[in-house]
Amino acid sequence: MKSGIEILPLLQSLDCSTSRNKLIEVSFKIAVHYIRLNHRRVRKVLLSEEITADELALEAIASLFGTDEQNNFCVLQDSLKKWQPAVDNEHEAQRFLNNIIRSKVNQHIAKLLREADPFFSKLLDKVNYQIKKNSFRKIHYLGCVYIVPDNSEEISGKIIPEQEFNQLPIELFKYGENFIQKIFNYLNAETSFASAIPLNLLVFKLKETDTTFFAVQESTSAQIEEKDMDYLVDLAIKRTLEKLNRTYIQKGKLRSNELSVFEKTLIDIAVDLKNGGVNPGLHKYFLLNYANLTYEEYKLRYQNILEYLFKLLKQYIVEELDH
Amino acid sequence: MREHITEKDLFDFVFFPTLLSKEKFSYLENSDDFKEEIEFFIDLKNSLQLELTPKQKQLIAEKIPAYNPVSIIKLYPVEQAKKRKVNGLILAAASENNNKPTVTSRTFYDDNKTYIIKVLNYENSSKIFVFSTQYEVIKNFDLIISPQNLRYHIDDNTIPLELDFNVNPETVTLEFNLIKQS
Repeated sequence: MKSGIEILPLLQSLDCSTSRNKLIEVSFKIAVHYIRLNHRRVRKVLLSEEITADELALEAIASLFGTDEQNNFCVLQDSLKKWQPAVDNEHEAQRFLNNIIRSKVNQHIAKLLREADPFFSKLLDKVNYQIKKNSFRKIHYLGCVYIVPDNSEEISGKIIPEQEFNQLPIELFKYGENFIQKIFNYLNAETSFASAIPLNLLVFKLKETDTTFFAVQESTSAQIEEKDMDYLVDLAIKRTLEKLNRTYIQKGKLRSNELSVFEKTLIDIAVDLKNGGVNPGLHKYFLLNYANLTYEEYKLRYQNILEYLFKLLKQYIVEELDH
Repeated sequence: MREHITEKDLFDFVFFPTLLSKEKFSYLENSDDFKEEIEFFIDLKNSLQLELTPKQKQLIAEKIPAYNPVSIIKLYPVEQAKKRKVNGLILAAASENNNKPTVTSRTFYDDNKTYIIKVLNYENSSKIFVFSTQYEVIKNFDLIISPQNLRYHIDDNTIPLELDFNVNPETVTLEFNLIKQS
């Protein structure tokens, strides 16, 4: 093993506390590396949740090291048993650990992106539906998930870099029955890149380019009400403010000038949600709209309300998208 | 060749180059096509060799209960000083005592001489003193006597470990839990 750390002996002695500690440390280092590879995409999540890359990496891999009653790493050991080919040499041990950590990191990033951005979440569902319907497959490659044609076991060749993917013709990013196949066709015919489409980048690109995306229905083309993202967000804000009014204003828990601050704050947050995610710390939105309020006062009086309303706003956006 | 290169090939190129076919190895070595991907794995390999900071270890312990790192320090016996001679004569103070001494002592150091352990054997008992050359009180650690592999937990080093038998360690190990228990 050329990295100086041998994984196979660690996997073979999971009852030894030194091995367990070492394995957790190595896994943490791998996870941090994959998080940093995705840094641009998760930056907003890290900022908005106010967590570090190290913390994110640990959240991603912690479940692997959960223990059962006998103090075994049940999840990890189960994966180890299922891994093909069997992990009986250092090469396979390295690949096993690298792949399982990479996969955990990707799952966690996808989960966070979904939680942070209801539009991303909805679009991802729709793209996943198309993947399943057309029997495409999803394959991990260097810390990202790629859509590949159904006959692919692995990706061979050069993957399209992000910059070049974003420069593909805009008409390819129009959601429809065969839009994924059209992108494959384009990659094959017009470029020298492998037939592999970066999933998250595709979703971001759809969100950015196809503003009427959310009006498209799966089964019918007749009498579709054209609802774009702005319209849906406006509806969600309206519902959130109604809730605020019912729960806090009518019961005398907030004054009308405070209502106005919440209104402005929620609108600012919604604008950023549409554009990829909220900025660091919800309190900053609030303080911008409430002159002379200190952070301590905000924490004491408004933080819980704003966090609750923010959750509601995201929930209402999802519900409007589902209508 | 470019269209035949897989992620596994790139991984092997960095971690297990001997497993890669000569053709692929030569191609990857001489082409810039997969430069960024290879750099990713090189950085990964380098990052595995970096030591984690205490803060990172603390963070891991907070998130993963199974993680419980320890610092292990091994101490070896100091060679017995040779008996002092002056002009070929053994001084009285250093001469053999025909009576078996009632107390014998041995001293142990670690490589950095941060810790000193003094083992005193009495007739049927022993005392083990742990000192820090940094003049600090050492707290919450395990002391392991080898080769018997006798392990004792010590709350702090202000009082010696007392045993009701003699010990003759070849080495003594101190184990510190690096994570502060809440």
